[in-house]
Amino acid sequence: MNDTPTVYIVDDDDASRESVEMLLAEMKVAYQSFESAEAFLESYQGERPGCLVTDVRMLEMSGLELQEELQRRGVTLSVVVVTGYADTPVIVRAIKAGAVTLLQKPARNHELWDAIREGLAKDVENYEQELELRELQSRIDSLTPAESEVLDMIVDGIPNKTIASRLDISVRTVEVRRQHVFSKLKADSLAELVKIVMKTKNSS
Amino acid sequence: MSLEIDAAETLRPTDYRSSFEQLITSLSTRFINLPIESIDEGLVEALGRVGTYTNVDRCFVYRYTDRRAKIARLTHEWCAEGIPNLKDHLQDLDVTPLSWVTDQLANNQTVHIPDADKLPPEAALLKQLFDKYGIRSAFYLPLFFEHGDTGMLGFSCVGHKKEWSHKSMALLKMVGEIVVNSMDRQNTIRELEASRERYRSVVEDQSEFIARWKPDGSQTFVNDAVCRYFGMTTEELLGMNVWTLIHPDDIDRLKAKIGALTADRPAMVDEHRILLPNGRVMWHEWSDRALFDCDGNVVEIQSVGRDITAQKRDREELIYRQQLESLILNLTSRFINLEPDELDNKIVDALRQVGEFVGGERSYIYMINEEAGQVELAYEWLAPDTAGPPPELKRISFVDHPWGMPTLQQGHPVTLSSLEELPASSEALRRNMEMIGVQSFIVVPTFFENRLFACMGISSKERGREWSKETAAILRLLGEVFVNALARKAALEALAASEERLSLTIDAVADGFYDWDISSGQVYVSNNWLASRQLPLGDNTRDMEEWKDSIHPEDLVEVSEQANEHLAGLTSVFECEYRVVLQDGSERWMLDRGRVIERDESGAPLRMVGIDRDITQEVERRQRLEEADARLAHLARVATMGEVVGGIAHEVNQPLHAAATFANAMSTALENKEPGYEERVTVMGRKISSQINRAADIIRRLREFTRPQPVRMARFDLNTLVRETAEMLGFVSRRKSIRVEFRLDEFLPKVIGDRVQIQQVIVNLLRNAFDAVDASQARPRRVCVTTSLDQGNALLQVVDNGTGLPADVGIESLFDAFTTTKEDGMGIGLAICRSIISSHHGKIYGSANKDHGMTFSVLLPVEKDASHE
Repeated sequence: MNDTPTVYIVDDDDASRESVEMLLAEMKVAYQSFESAEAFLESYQGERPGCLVTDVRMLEMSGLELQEELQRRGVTLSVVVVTGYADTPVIVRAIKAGAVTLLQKPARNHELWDAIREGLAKDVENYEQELELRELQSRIDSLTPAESEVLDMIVDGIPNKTIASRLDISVRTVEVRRQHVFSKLKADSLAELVKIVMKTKNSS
Repeated sequence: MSLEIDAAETLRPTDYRSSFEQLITSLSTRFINLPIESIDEGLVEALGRVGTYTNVDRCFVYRYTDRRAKIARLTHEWCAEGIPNLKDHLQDLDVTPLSWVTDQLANNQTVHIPDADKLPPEAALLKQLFDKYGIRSAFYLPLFFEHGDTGMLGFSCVGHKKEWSHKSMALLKMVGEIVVNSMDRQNTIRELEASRERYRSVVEDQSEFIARWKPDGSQTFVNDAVCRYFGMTTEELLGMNVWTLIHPDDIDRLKAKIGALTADRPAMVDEHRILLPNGRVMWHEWSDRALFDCDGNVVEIQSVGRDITAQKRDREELIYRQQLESLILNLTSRFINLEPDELDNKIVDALRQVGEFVGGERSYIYMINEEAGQVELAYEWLAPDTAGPPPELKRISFVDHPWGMPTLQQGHPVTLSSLEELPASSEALRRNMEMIGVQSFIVVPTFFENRLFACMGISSKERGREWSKETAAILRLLGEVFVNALARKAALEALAASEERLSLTIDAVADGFYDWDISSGQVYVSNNWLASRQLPLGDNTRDMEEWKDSIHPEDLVEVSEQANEHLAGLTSVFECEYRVVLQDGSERWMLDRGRVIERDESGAPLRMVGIDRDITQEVERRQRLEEADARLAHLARVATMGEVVGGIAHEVNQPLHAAATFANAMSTALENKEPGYEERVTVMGRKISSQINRAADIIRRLREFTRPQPVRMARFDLNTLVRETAEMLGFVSRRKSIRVEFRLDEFLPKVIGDRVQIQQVIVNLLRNAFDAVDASQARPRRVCVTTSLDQGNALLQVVDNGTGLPADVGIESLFDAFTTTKEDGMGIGLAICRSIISSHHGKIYGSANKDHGMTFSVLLPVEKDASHE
């Protein structure tokens, strides 16, 4: 992966925003600051990897709402939500939204940095996984419908003969399609083929 | 008259004598026929003829007026033309010095003085007299009148001498006789006439009655006067019994008095009434003297009497006048100092007096009720044993009984001597009158404000009674008095009502009333005023200086400023609360509200009245209330804060978090020591301390806000307070995602008030606004806070775009305690706001916005010096 991870700061409190900027500057981490969620959404085009640092309470759109909006857009960016009061509804909502880190204000020692660093690392990891998954999926997407049909049955462990009779085609035809599937998915073995199919199925 | 005798100076001696004789004869006969009143004139004429004839300058008659013949009176005189008369100089002449003449005359001698120069020395005084008047010759002869009176007939010549012949003297003596005769005759006739006069007065004008009568009343003698008086002959009178002539009411008394006469005291005088044959009653005064026989029995009574009716009438008239006067005085004076509630009794009593005085059985006042078209009996007096009027007479319709009304309307009295005078149309009235035995009456109208107002009347059982103008006048007076009394009653009642209102107002509303005569510095104060200052009652006129001295020194400047502003006309009302120091050193709070009610042409104040109220208890109560309010406000603040104390903590966490992050960055910079780190570390250190301060401020304000503390009035910047408060409540607005906008007038003068209390008001208004916005789905969620200067006051407005007011809740009621539109609200927030703002002499009110949401406005006084900005 060639992209440098970027930290996105979204906070309407000037001091909070500035303090995070200064910290990241010391850490030599690239960052972008936004005064509101709306401003961030307008600018952000899904660049990865990165980490979003935001506050729960903000005018207009809150931090949690922002995260939800990102999820809706299918962005799996790491999020660090800072809150002054981690009351139950907020925590429940955050967990449901799958936020990476919920940090309570004021943060102790390196809590914030640790959370950001963790978020960034995770996002790098996630981003790699996402990229791999996207590769595997594109391999699957390259199969013809007849080949996909055969793949599903192969993964289900059905022998060629049975496939040929179910599809009312010759065993020879089944074998030809099976060879195409292995080749298009770049799988060396049946086990590898099953692994690829499972990976893509889990993520969708 | 004229004596037709020709002058004969030029006649010859024989002719002269004969014609002189003829003259005298003519004079003599003429005089006899002269009427008495012409005798004096005739005498002078005669003297003139004789004088002319004998060529003398004066002829005159002197008559002594006293028996001793000392003073002579010139009774008649003739003077020739150009000769001054003696009458002017010698009218009453003392003849004592002229005894030379008078002695001779007294001896019946004539005095002949042919040449004054040859008078003997004894006649020196006569000579002086002659010289004085230029008399050269004279001739005097004595006159002897009846009753021994004497006199003198004189002739004198002025400027020339004359010698009288004996013959002439004899003839002149005859003239003297004629003079004496005529003068005597004149006297006699005069005396006769005087005598006749005396007789007439004695006989003809005799009014003394003389009568003699026996104890049984039979008369034995009456004089002519009695006959003339009764218009009866002696015989007719003697045939009548004395007692039949005397008024029945006087008989018993007179009999008793006669019976009481004794030989020792046989006489008495009595006034009693006599009945004349024509029915008239006359008053007589009789002196009765009884004659007794030897047994002491009365045999005869001699009576001398006279008619004293006129005197009696005069006397009665006088008494009547006096009574009338007293009645009038009584009627008028009794109503002068009359309390209104006494009026009814007094009027009835006045009716009684008038009724008794005039002589009637019923006197009354009917009031005119024009609307009802009737007269209504208002007041009535009835003589004892007199029946009151039937109901029909208590209200008399003047529509049905128009009789008399036009007369009354024109202001004239209506009199009725007998019921027969009533017209047939008033038959019902007549029957009613008859029923109560009224035979005659008089009714007099009374006007009030040019309208027939009431009728005063008197009725009598007496038939044919003539009602005098005086009665009408008395009734009129009564009417006047009545109307005045009623008007006065109304005025007094109105006054009393107004006084009562005033006094009630003064008593109820304020303790002390004052009326300040500004030019004199004197203040009239009410008793309550005195009492409120523990001053002795009664001394209600005080000095303004004394008042000023009583004002607490700390308040005096303020009071003076306010008072001067009002006196100068800058304020419409003077209103000031201040302390006064009483004599015992204690202090009382006064609320003084006054107003200048009179100014001179130049506008300078002349008089100021006001009410000075002891509000000590009120102030104490207010202070207690303020304390209670303060406690309540504190509780509310604590409640407000307690509710969200965690939220406030978050607000503190905000800067703390920033500080911690700055610190994190700083430690990283210190570890890595990247180029230029020192500078960055310094910046970060500043940022950290700034955030720490921010946190500390929030904590301090929170403490201030929640800590109970006394009211501290001070100048402060409202904008700063608004920002701070909004920041303090930032956690709320943030949580609710509400944007707070500020539109603050940066030139707003400082306001005066208690900062914490005003902050509480702002907190309440902001929280309400947040709640309202939160409850609505409207976007954007926004609360706007504005400040501005509004007519010299600071105006703070909190505008939300929230839910607005439920239809069933009035805006004003929001300010009532325990009124809330929130499920979890206490309903005291706005009530406390109002209490706080009113204690700041400000104003708070709410209004619905045009689109949605509400605006709450607070007006607060600003620092005076800056109020012009």
